[in-house]
This record gives sequence, structure tokens and C-alpha cells, in this order.
Amino acid sequence: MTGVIEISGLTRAFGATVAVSDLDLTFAAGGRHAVIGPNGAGKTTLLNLIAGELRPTSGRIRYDGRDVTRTARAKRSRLGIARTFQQPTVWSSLSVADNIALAAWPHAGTRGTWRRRRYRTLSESCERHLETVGITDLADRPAGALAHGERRMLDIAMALAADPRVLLLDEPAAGLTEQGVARLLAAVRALPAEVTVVVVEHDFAFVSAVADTVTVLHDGKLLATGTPAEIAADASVRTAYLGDLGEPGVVEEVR
Amino acid sequence: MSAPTSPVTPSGSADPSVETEPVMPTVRASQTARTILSSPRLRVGAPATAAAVLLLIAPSTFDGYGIGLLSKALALGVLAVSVVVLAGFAGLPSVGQAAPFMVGAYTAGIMGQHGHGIGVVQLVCGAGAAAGFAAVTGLVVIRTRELAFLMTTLAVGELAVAVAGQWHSLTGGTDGMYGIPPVRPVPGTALLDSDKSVYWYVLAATVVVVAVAWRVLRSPVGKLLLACRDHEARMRSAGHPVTLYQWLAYVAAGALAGFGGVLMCTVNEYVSPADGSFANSALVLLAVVLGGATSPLGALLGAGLIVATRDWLSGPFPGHGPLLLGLMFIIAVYALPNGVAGVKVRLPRRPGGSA
Repeated sequence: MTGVIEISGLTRAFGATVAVSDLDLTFAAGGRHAVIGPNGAGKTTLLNLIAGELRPTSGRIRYDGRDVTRTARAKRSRLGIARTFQQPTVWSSLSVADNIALAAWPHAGTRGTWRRRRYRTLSESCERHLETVGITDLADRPAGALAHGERRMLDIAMALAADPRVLLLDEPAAGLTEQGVARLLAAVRALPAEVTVVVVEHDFAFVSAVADTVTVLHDGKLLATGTPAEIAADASVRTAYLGDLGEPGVVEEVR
Repeated sequence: MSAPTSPVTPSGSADPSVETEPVMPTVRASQTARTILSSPRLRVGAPATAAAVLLLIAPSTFDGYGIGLLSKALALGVLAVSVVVLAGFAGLPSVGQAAPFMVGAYTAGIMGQHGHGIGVVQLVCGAGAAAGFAAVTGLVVIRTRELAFLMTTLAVGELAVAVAGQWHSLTGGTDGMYGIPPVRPVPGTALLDSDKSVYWYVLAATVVVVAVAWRVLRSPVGKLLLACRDHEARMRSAGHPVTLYQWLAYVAAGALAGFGGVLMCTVNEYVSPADGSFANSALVLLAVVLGGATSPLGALLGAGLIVATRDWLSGPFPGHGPLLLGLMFIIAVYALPNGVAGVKVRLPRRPGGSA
């Protein structure tokens, strides 16, 4: 399988702190990837580098065979890289429906969306994304009035509305109810097979349920790659990361 | 200035500020009255109707000075609406918006002195020249944010004033341009040689341009700008060319300001670098704060209040206009954090209450 995202020698330093250090990684097209690691392992920095929110100190990022290391994030988004945020970000003075429509706007492929009628058509075509994440009832509410979990669902729906080829999810399950997590799982599983998903998550149960490959980062470096089962059995991972969570028994349970 | 909850949305339909406090079940009538009084339609409609009535009966009740002030307030109001576009919607609080206003005014002045006295042509050319000015300065200004944006817009404004003061051959220097002949609104109509006729012309032009701005701001374009203001980074992540939007908003606001400048030149028959002064920029920013940052109508009312305070109310207190303005500003910021447009109608909870 070819990699849709190929990272080579990627380094990002914040002053003296090196968040991502000489990383080589490939995310296979159509894969369901998870990136895990202890706090400060550089997971979110990695997502920010892929999405274009940050520029690397050195190294290259290739997306779909082209070098996007210097490509602005709006352009990367239009090329098909969508993301959600650790702190769900929405446009708070607009309604939930407007949030989705604006997120879909640059990807809709139609011209003249600034006209009322075209915009309404676009907005109607986005209703399915609200349904997917289960916030149809909230469509007319201002996004600023949403509770945290609802806001996260909206953030995810906004990423889905971009019709992405690569979907980056930054701790999507954090702060969600069980029902919310179930919906999220269903939404990720319902994605077309050719969509590549990269999820950064702490919850190993969620990771096992979603991902087919797990990448473990530690201190900005690659520690291990494998299936969830292999990672759970990996001794070095256990010491670096899973050891923090408790007894190995926890991992056994998860499996 | 930023409202803790959501500011009034441009659509007006999903108004979050509708009161949701618990109401005693026994006071249905009061509750109904409250619902009606806080409906967006009435809250926009009532002041709009009051303002329209005032504007229509003004020429027959006010003296020449009063009518002139009202015309000035309208011209300044158009400038204030341009600040609504920038500060309220695009989230770019410019403190140099008087510069494109001055460019528009000089364009009209120069055209008038060279025999091009058709009002509509002046308006189009003045708005175009100001848009061109904004298009060029915007390339620099849009790259800055927050404090740097304030400083850059201030610098651009002051530079424009300095250029206007130095360029004698074109602008007449710091003395300004005197004796600009009155205009004809369109070819074949009478010369606007009285306060009243100028007033009707300025009123008509203001209504048209504010209606256009209102319509655009309520369209999906307004939503794009509000989203850029709410969370610019998220807009970029969603794939929107935010910088292009902001530049276009800056150019459009420049054109609006220039339009106001042309009207001001028609009213005053005089243009000077003072038209582009920081004082003017600050005044309209005050008008927008008074009116509520996202309300074009509120900005017009705010401009009216400011001109009334500075030039009319200060009559009994000569020389204290700025003091009155300062007091009004303090009161406005404390009492009306969301501007006149953000005022909620409160009725007593129980029947038999005093009001």
C-alpha cells in the first residue's frame, strides 16, 4: 500500500523543547491509524504539522505524492486534509447549521455560494452530517451556546462536512458520553474505505476499536508501530506509556 | 466590546439575547408582552420607524443649521457603517477609516472644481478612488492583527492626512479646498443649492447605500465575515482564504467610507485634511460602540447622537463638545455594553409594577 502521508526527518522545536524529533512515518492510504503516547510525546504537534498549523523546524511532509511542507493550511484543507481540535473550535455567534455549511463551503465545488439560494442548498445538503453526529435538534442554536460534548460533535461534523481524504482527529473521544463515543465510532466506521483516518487518543479502548495500526510516540520519537494487539503486548510501550495507566491487567481487559 | 454571550446575529432570526429568565406562571400577559417586545422584528423595526419618521419630518421642523447637521450626521453615518463592516463583522477595528473617507471627499471636491458636478458620478468615482486607496493600503494593513492592526491603520490614516496637507497642487494644502460648487444629483435635475435639497439628496443616497450594505451583511457573505471574526484559525483550517476575505472587506469598507466622504463634501462644500483626522475615525468608532458593533442602523443612530451631542447639545456649553462626548462614551460603555441595538426591553415581573 502506498502512503497518503509520508513524513521524513520531521522535527519541530519550541525553543529548547523538541516536540517532534527526526520523525519518519508513513500513513497508508485508507488506513485507520492511531497515534498514542504519554502527555508531551508530540502527538498534537504532529497533527498540527500535518494540517499545516505549524511549520516544521526541519524535515518534509508529502501528501498524496506532493510536497506540502510549505503549503498553507487553508490550501492543505482544500487538498483534502481535515481536522478536529483538542479544544473543539466553532464559530460561536453563528448557528450550528451555519457552522456546518461554512465548513463545507470551500469543498462543495460549487461557485457562487455567497448567493442566498446556493447557500441554502449547501446548508440542506449538510444536514446528514448533523444526523451522523446526532445534533440535528440543535441546528438552529448558536454554536456558542452548546455544551462541551455537543461542541465536540459539531467540530467533528464540520470536519466530515469537508469531505476529507485524510481526517485528523485530535482526542475526539475526550469529554464525550458513552453514547457520544458510540456515535463517533459509528461515524468513523461509516467513512468511505478510501478515507485515511489519523486519530490521536489517550483512551486505548477507543483506539483498539477504531484503529488497525497504532503508532506510539515518546519524547517526539517513534517508539513502536503495530496492530493494537501488538502494541498492547509490547514491553517498551508498556514501560513508556501504558505503565502510567496502571497494571498490565488493564490492557488485557481492553483486548 | 466583545459580548460575553453571542452578539446579535446578522440574520436576526436566531437571536440569542431573547430573555430566557424564569417567569412566574401567573403573569402570562406580561410574558406575552415581553415576547413581543423582545422579538427581533420589533427591536429593529421600532427604532428604524422612529428614525425614519424623524428624518422625514425634520426638514419642515428644523432650521437650516439643524438640517445641515442632520446631513452631516448621515454622511458620518455612512462612514460609521463602513466601520461596522470592518470592526463588527470582519473583526478588524480600524482607527484610520477616516482616510478613505477623506479620499472620497477630495475626489468629489476636485471633480466639482473641474466642472464635474453630477452627484451620482461623484459618488461612484469617490467610492472607487477610496476603494483603490483601501486596496493598496490593505495589502499592508491586513497582514497585521490586534495592537499592530490599530497602529498600522492609525499610521496609514495619519500618512494620508499628511499627504493631503502637503500636496498643494491637488488638494490646496492644509487650508483645504473652498467654494466647491453644488452638485446636480443626476444630469438634467436642479442644482442642490439649499440646505433642504442637499438634505434630501444625502438622505436618498444614504438610504440606498446602507440598504445595499445591510443586504450584503445579512447574506452568507456576512456569515463568512462573522466566522472570520469568531475564529480566524478555524476558518483557515476549514479551507477558507481568510486573508482574501478580509482584504475584500477592507476594500468594500473603504468604498463605503469614500461614499460617505463624497456626501460630506456635498454638504460642506469644503474639504480639508481634517476630514481624514484621527478625531473623525475615533468618533465613528464611538458611533459604532454606541450603536452596537454589528448593526448598521445602530451605527447611523450612533452617528446622529454624536453629531447632536458635539454640535447641537454643546450649544449651551460652548467649547465643551469633547467633554460631553467623553461623558457619553463612558455612559455608553457602562450602561450599554452591547450598544443601542443590544438594549433589551424589560417589563415588570408582576402586574401592578411601576412601569
